[in-house]
Amino acid sequence: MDWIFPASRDLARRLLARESAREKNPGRGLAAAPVPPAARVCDKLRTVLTTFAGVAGFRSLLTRALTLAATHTPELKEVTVNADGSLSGLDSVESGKKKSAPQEWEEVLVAQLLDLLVTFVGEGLMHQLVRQAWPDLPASPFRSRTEDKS
Amino acid sequence: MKRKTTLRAGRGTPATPSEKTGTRSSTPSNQDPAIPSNAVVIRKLRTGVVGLDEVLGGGLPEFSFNIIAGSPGCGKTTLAHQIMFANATPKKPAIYFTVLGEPAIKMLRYQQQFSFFDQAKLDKSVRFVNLSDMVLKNDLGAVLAEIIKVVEEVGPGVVVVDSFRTVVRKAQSMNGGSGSGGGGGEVELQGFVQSLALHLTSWQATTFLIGEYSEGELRDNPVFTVADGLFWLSQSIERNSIVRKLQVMKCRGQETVPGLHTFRITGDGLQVFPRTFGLSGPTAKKRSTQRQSTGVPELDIMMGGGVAAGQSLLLAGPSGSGKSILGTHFIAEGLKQGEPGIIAVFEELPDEYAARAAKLGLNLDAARKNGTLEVIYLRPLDLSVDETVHEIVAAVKRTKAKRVVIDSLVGFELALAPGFRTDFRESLYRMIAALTRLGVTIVSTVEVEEDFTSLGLSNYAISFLSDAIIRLRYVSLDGQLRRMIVVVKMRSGKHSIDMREFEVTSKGIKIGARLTGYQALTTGIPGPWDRGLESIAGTMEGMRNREEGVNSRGRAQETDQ
Repeated sequence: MDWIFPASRDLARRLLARESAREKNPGRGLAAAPVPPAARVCDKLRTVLTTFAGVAGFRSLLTRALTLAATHTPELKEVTVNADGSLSGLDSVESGKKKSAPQEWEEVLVAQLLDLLVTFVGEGLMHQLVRQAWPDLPASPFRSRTEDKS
Repeated sequence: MKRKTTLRAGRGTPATPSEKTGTRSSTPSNQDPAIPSNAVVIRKLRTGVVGLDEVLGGGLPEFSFNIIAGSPGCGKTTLAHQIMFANATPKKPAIYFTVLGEPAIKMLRYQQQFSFFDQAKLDKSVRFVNLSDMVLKNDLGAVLAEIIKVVEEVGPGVVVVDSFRTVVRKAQSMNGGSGSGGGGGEVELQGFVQSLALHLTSWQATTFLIGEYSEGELRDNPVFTVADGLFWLSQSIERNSIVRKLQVMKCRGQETVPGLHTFRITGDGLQVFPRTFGLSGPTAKKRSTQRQSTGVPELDIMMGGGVAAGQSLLLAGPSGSGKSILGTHFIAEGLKQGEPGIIAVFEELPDEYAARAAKLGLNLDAARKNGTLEVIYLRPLDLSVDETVHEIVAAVKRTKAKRVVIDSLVGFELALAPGFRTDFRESLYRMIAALTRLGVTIVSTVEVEEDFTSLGLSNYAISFLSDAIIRLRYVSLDGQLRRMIVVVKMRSGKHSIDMREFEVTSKGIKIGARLTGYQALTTGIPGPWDRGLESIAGTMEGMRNREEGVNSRGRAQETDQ
C-alpha cells in the first residue's frame, strides 16, 4: 500500500513544519545536533502512543510505517526502529539532501504513521493523540477519508 | 450477608458522577430500625448497561473492588468499557490499564464501534495506560508501584486492569523461576491484590480486574477472596445458538438478583435481561373486575361478559382454526375502546400480520402509525424467554398497553435457543406472571395437534397457567369439516358450557348456534345423538339444575340453550 490519504499527508506536513520551525528557533541553552523533523515528530508521537499502546505497540506501527514509506524512498530501508521506539540511521537518508525544509520522505513517513493510526483507531482518536502531543497545534479542518475518496 | 445490611445498602438512588463521594447521610424515615443511624451509606454507580443495575440491586457499590471473569469472547472488556464510559468525567476520570491482553490499539479499534464509546471522553475523562512492558520486565512490586503512581497522579473514579490474569500468571511464573515452595507465588499474588485493593479503595476508585477464568478456578482463588464483587460472564453453544449469561456471584453489601441472567451484545454494548423482567418493585396494580370485550359479541356472552381484565386467556386449537384471528379481534376491539395493544408475532412479519387482519375488516395500520399498537416480530432463533419478555414489557410501558397478544406459543418456543426450550413451561409461568403484574390482559395462542379422540388443551401442559381457556377445533359434520368453539375454563366466574359452531368470514369470526343433536363433539368425529344417552344427559342436567337451585348459583346458561 503506497497510496497515502491526502488528509494524512496534509497533517504530516503541518507537524513537520512545526517541528522544523522549532529546530530553527531552539530555546536558550539547547545546542544539540540537529535532528530531522520527522524524527522529532515520531518521537513526540512515541511519547503519547507508548502510554496507551506500549512500546511494542508503537514499535510495530512505526516499523510498518517505515516499510511502507521505504517503497517510496528506498533509502529508508537503512533506517531501523530501536527497542524503545526511536529511529536510527536517519543520517544516511539525510546526507546529500537539502536541509532547509522537511524532505518529502519525512512527509511520507509521518503520513504513513498517521494513516496507520486512522486505519486502526479512526480519525477522531488519531486527532486526539496528535493534540496530546501538540496541545498548541491550531485546529484545522481535516478532510475525512470519505471526502478524500470522493 | 445479613438482611439488614442489604436493605441499608440497597437504599438510595444511584450515584451520579457529579455528586460528592464517600459521605455519610442522615437516616431516612424509612430506615430499618435495626440499622444504626450513623451507618455508612454505600452509594451506587450506574453501570451504563441496560438491565444490569437492576440485577445488582441498584448499581455498583462505589469504591468496590471487583472482578469481571469469564471465558474469552464473552464480553468482559466490553462490559468494563461500558461501565467506564458511563462514569468517567474530567473531574473523576477512568484509567484503563492494559496488561499483555488484547493490544490497546486493537481494543480501541473494536470498542469504538459501540455506541457508548464516546471519543470526546478520551481526552480528559478516559485514559489508557499500557503496563505490558512493566509486567514483562519487572516484578509485581514494580507493577503495583506504577499503578499507584498513575492513580495518585490522575485521581480516577474508575480503574480497570485488563487482563489481570496476566498479572496472576506473572506471579506464578516468578514462583516457578525462584524455585521456592509451591505457595510462594500465591502468597505474593494475594499480597499484591490486597495492596492494590487497599490502595485503590483508599483513593476512592471503583476497580475492575478483568480475567479469563474457567469455573473450576473459582474455588479457593486468593483473588476472588479479596474481591468485593465477582461478575461471571459465560457463553455456551446450544446446538446452533449461542447463549450468553451473567451471574453476580458475589457483591458485598448489596442485595442482588440471584441466578443466571441472559444478556446480548449489540451495537449498544451489553444488554442484560434480568430474571425479574425489570419488575422487581412492588406492584401498584390491583386486579380489576372489569371485563374486556373480545370483539366477538357472541363470545363475550359465552364468557360471561368478556375476558377478565388483567388475566390471561389461552386460545388453543389446531392450525388454521382461527386463533390468530380471534387474537386480532381482541386487539382491534381494544383499540376501538381506546386501549393500546401489543401483538408479539413469531411466525410472520408485522406487515403480513396487519395485511391479513385488513382482509378481515380489522384495520391495524392506523393504530400502528399513531403508536397505540405495536406489532413486535421476534424470531432470532436464539432468544431467551427473559429477552422476549423484556421486549414485550418495554413495548407495554411505551404504549401503555392494556392488551397483549402472543401469537403463538409454538412460534415463541421455536424462536428460543434450544437450551431454553427445556424450561419453557417454567418460563411461561414467569412471563405470564410478569405481564399480568403490569395489569395487561394477555391472550396467547397455542397450536394443538388434533388426535380426534380427545380434547387436548395444549402440548405444553400449560393450561394451568391460564385464567381462561377457549378451545377451537375442527369437527366432522354432515360431510363437512366445520369449526367449533367452547369455553373450557374461566377462573373469573361463570361461563357458557356450550359447544358452538363458528365461521371465519370476510368480516371476521361469526359464532353460530349450539351444536345439538350430536354426541362426542369433543373428539372431532361426532355421531348422532343416542336417545339412550340423551335420557342420561337429561338426568345429569336435572341433577345440575337442582344443585344450582340449592346454591342459587350456577354456570351461565345462554338464552339459546
